[in-house]
Amino acid sequence: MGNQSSPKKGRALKTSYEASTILRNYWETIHAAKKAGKPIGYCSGNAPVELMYAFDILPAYPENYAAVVASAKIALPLVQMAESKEFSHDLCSYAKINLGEVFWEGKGKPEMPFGGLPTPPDILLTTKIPCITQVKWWEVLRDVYHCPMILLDAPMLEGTVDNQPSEDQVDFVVDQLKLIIAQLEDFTHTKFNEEKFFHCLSLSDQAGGLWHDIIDLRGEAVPTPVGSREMCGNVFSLVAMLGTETPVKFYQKMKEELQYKTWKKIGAIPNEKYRLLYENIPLWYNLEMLSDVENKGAVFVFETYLRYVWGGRIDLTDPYRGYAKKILSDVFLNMNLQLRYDIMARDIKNYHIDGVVFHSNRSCKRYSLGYYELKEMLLERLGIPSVVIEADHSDPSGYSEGNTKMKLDAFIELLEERRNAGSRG
Amino acid sequence: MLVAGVDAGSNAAKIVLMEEDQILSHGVLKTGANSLGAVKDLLQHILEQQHKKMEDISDIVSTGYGRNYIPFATFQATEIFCHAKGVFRTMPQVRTIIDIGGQDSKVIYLDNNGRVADFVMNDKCAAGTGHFIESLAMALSVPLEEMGPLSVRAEQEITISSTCTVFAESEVVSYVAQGFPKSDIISGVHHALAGRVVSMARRREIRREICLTGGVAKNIGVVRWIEKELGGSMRIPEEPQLTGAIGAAMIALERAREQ
Repeated sequence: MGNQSSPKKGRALKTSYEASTILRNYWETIHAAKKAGKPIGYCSGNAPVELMYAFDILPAYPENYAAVVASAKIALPLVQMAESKEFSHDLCSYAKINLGEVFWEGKGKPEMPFGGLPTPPDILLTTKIPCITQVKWWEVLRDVYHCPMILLDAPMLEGTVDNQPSEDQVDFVVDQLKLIIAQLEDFTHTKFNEEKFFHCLSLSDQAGGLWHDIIDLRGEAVPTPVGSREMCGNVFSLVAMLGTETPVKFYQKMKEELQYKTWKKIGAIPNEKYRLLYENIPLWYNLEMLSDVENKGAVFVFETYLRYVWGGRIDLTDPYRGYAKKILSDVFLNMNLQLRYDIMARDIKNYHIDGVVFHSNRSCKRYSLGYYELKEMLLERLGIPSVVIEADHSDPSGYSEGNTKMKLDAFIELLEERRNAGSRG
Repeated sequence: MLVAGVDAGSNAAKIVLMEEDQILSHGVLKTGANSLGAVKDLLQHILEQQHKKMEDISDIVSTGYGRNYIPFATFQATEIFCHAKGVFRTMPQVRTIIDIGGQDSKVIYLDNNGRVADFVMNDKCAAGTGHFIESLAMALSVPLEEMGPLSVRAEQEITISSTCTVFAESEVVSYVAQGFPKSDIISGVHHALAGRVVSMARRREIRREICLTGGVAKNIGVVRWIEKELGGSMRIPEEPQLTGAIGAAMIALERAREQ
């Protein structure tokens, strides 16, 4: 219930202030490369971007850029433009934002952050690991830009909580990687630079490992040194610069700061009472939602999106198989419901979670499947309450602020009542 | 000890004045664009009726969509908790509350001690809310308060299949054009609302007894359809619209006693 002390302003971590510089530098670099005539490849999340670097192709990320656009609160006219071009209202809003820009006609186009995506792309690389929409979206881009498109196919993971794919599944992805290498050799008319590929894999391994260390550090620490809103900004470096040195340096520094804050028990908010888990992609146009709960003593300490879409180690002793395993193992969207539950149950324990907020995401139904089943399982088996909010990660048109705030406020009241009832014995 | 509970809802402001455990007075006022003004006027009116002044009130708690915009409230709580408290006060045997307000509908599941164990709410659209009935009453040119009594005279079942308020309006207009009696159409509207709310309630186990709160509980047509869908009767408070404000006043009383 109401009237708690307000949280302190500003970033919890000094290192977080570097994220905006990294973002700006990335965009300057990629636009400069395009001007200089270097090949640019549009890559989707979880695509094997290290292979692009091995062929001196610079990656740009339409999905990530759509999130940047949504954060700048200019997504709506682009979404509407895509819909006016007969793309379905039900299509992912990342795709609609990008396609709205690609097919924009007439006046009134919003000023695109960082000058927009460099166009045209020279090649397209995608994968069906997160979803099929990406493949269809990339096919539209291929038709628009008349450039080659490469697809990494991968099976859905049905593993255990240890999260290991089967040998057959790994074999399949290794074959796919080798096929992509042959396709890129054809495209660039150059021989594959395996040494460079392994170097990029090593950088990805370091950055991915550091990212997971960071997530563990802030999740295990009581009080947590940093909340979700800040970490959603900090993930950019990993999303757009995987395979380079930038995220390695950035996350090493962040890890050291977190280690210090954890040791000193310096919390993100003055009086941490309730520790929350956020499930699904955040509302990029309303990241404030993640920090608003802090007024009531609640803080998001863990997000499945930040952990099970991004980061992870690669076994470099067997690079192809190690990479295939990493690609298959760490994507929440590519797991069946039982595995998701098992992983969440483990994380709830490890990160001392009091409650879960599910974001039923209109744009990402594959991520949002089974929430009411998961909700029931968490309550019945672990006694962990949860709430489901309905929204979209990048399209603000269907978002109801009053409804969502009410659900979150009531959920914190529920946690408070449970806590009070427990303390009364 | 005098306290007040203010429920600043999307359609109406509701205020309850409590003296210790007894409800001293209450009032409901339709809110226009200026909901804060409506709340102020209503509180002033209630206080004058009781020959009391603002300074006599020990604590004021607000709830409802406008809960954060009542400057004289010392504390805010959501309707979910206020409804639970308001219902449990007089009906401690209730385990499931269905609240249908102007802008949303909620199902609140209580444990045996009257605490909120879980809740579900409608998503962002108007289907399943009081606004659904208001819009269709306008489309049919029937005063809102006559919707309930008219619908119980229905002689045949009409299905309104669209959950979208705008599409449902087209369906209603089409039935009117086909010459169906208004009572039959209104009954169909109530059935559609009841179906939507009950399917939401079934996301969790519905434990009895069940209580219906919110302004829509005054509509006998909706009540009957929900009872039919649930296969049993519901408890309805004497003033179903006031439940949230009563709960808010109870929280105010607890707070005032603690001070």
